[in-house]
Amino acid sequence: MVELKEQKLLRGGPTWPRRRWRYFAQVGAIVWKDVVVEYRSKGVVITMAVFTLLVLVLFNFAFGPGAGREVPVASGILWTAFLFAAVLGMNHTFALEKEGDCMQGLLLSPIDRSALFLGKMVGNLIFLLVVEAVSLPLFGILYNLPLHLVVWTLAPIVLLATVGLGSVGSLFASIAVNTKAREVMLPLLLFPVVVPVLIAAVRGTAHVLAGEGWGGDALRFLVVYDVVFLVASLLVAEYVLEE
Amino acid sequence: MSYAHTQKPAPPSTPLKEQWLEVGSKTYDFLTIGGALVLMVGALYLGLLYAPTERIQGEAYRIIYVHVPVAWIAFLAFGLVGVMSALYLWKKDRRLDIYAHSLAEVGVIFCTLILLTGPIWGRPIWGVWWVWDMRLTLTLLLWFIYVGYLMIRAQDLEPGRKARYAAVLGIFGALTIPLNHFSVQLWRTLHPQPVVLTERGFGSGLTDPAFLIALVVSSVAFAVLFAAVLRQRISLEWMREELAQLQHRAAEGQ
Amino acid sequence: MLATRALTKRFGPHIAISDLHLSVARGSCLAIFGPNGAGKTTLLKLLAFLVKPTSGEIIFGGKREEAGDLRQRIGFLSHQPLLYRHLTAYENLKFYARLYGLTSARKRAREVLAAVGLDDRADEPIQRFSYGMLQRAAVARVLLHEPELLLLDEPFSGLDSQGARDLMAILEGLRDGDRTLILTTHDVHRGLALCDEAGILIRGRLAYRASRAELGSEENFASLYEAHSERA
Repeated sequence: MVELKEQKLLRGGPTWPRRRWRYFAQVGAIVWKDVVVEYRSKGVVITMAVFTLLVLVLFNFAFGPGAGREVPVASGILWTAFLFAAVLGMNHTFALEKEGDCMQGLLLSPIDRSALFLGKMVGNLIFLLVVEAVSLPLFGILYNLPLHLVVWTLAPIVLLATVGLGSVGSLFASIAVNTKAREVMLPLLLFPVVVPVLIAAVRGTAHVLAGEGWGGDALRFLVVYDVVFLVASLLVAEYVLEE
Repeated sequence: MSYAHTQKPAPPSTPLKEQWLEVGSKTYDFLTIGGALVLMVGALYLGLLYAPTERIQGEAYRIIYVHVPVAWIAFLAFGLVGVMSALYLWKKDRRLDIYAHSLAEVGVIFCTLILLTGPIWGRPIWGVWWVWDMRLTLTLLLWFIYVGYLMIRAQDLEPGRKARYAAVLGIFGALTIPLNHFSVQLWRTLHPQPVVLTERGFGSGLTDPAFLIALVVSSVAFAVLFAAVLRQRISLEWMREELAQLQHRAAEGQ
Repeated sequence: MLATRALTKRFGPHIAISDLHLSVARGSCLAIFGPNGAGKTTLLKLLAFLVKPTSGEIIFGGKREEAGDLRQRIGFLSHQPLLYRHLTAYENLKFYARLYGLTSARKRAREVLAAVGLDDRADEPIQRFSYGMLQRAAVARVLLHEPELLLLDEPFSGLDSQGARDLMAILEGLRDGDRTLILTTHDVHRGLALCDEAGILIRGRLAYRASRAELGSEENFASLYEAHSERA
């Protein structure tokens, strides 16, 4: 028999005094939750990393052993692999909220919808960046590319392109997860919209791998794309994240 | 505890057809459908017979009298989908949602026409049906974006939710248009440079005024056709909605 | 403390809640009975600001406020526990305490878990919990931020008799003080034991309402409820 200790229930902690702190505390809580769940369930990051590696190897089979020698082809292969892995991962983190209707619990709480979206997006970005950090050195080794370029000079391009992918991807994943054919729906919706990111990332990567600097025009283009779509995603989040 | 509870009769189902669509709809249909027919004949005459043969491309160039107006209208339609979508999220007016849906559908048809007429021109001029030129590729991607939009529209979702999702996709689709343009400028293109609206002013890229006259008339013809088709599509959507309500009420009555 | 005016919710052509006028006084408990599809869950979701009404309004505490601030004052017990199965009960509650902006999230999570009698199982992943324990953990989640208004959607469905008894004891403990409760249920016996006013929801309309005193015996109300359900 359970007896309710009423006096304990009446002593609720005070809430955060400042709205801004609370906003980021809420974002942090969601990111923390997604990371812990991922760590416990081993749900998707390992799958994504192995998948990326597999795609890198598959392309080599498809194009023959000489494929990697041309830098533009190698960078195209790299970003195609990342794009596929990103779709896998983002579908997964929203499917997690669908399971047991947990999204409803989040929506019941006094969290700003943009904070909720930001939390989910940052979680997705962390997973994507981990996968990229693991697969980039392997990409360099498999395709015989200078490692310092692949792991260091390429970083800004990778970071910016991942933010672009992650912001639109998270938003569209939160839509696709509510449709019947969600696994197919996300790439169908996402790929045409992120092709500018893909083009810029591939061009920028080719630029970097050819030893011509940090990425040039592609970097600037990615900054514009990221700002536009990040702001737009945060603005429309409340219309997507609604019961 | 107390109740201030009254039970009024159920509100009558909202009048679906708006006044302006009912009143004078015959006139609108007559003007747009009739006007489109007359203007199309005029545009055919101007485009095929009146306008002179182009110096370099020969007769093949004449497809621009279809290709260019259709492209303008498709981009206009997609831009308007974005505007209607943003307004829908703001005002939550069912009409805006229907306009966005209808515009997207008509826009996809016009975009399909761009993608069909382009290769017909490209084959004699470039020697191939398709080149992976940035502008062509991005138009094809735009087509995919709005086909995706229509696929969300075709999903079995709660109507309010579906309208919100579609609106978000409509806004994002419209946002990619300038970004596409931007990336075309950054990375070179094979596509002919704009000749009608250039930095040097309207029409300065065309050597003979007859080119411009034919292009303007065919553009007006396609614009009127667009207005006619769009209006039919919108009233079809109202009819569908009315039917759904009637069916629902009939089912409830049993 | 809570009033709705001409509250209506449509899903396309389907009208889930139709022109509902309802007011609930502070500290009282209203039980809403109704057959499946009557709109009970939709009504609670509207009151929890989870879905937006098609028309009409909800006035909470006599003032019109931002839904975000009001969510802080409402607890909603859903059909599902709304907890993550890979996390422990304590981690789940700590997470929710942070979402609700509670400064002493850890302490508070332990407190509510103790209050529902789960302190000895707090550090186990909830996927090992029985349904009754999950429901208690869900109650702990709902109580975290001390809501003034508790919305309980069919709290007894799916529980065995022991689980239902435990939950009943917890809910009875919540009845005193200023806390307002609205629950939906099929369970006439438990619903009537808790409430001080009962309503019957049929097709999105409140077909009947009366105070506990007016209701008379349980059998009386049960037959009344049956008659209403059959007419629907």
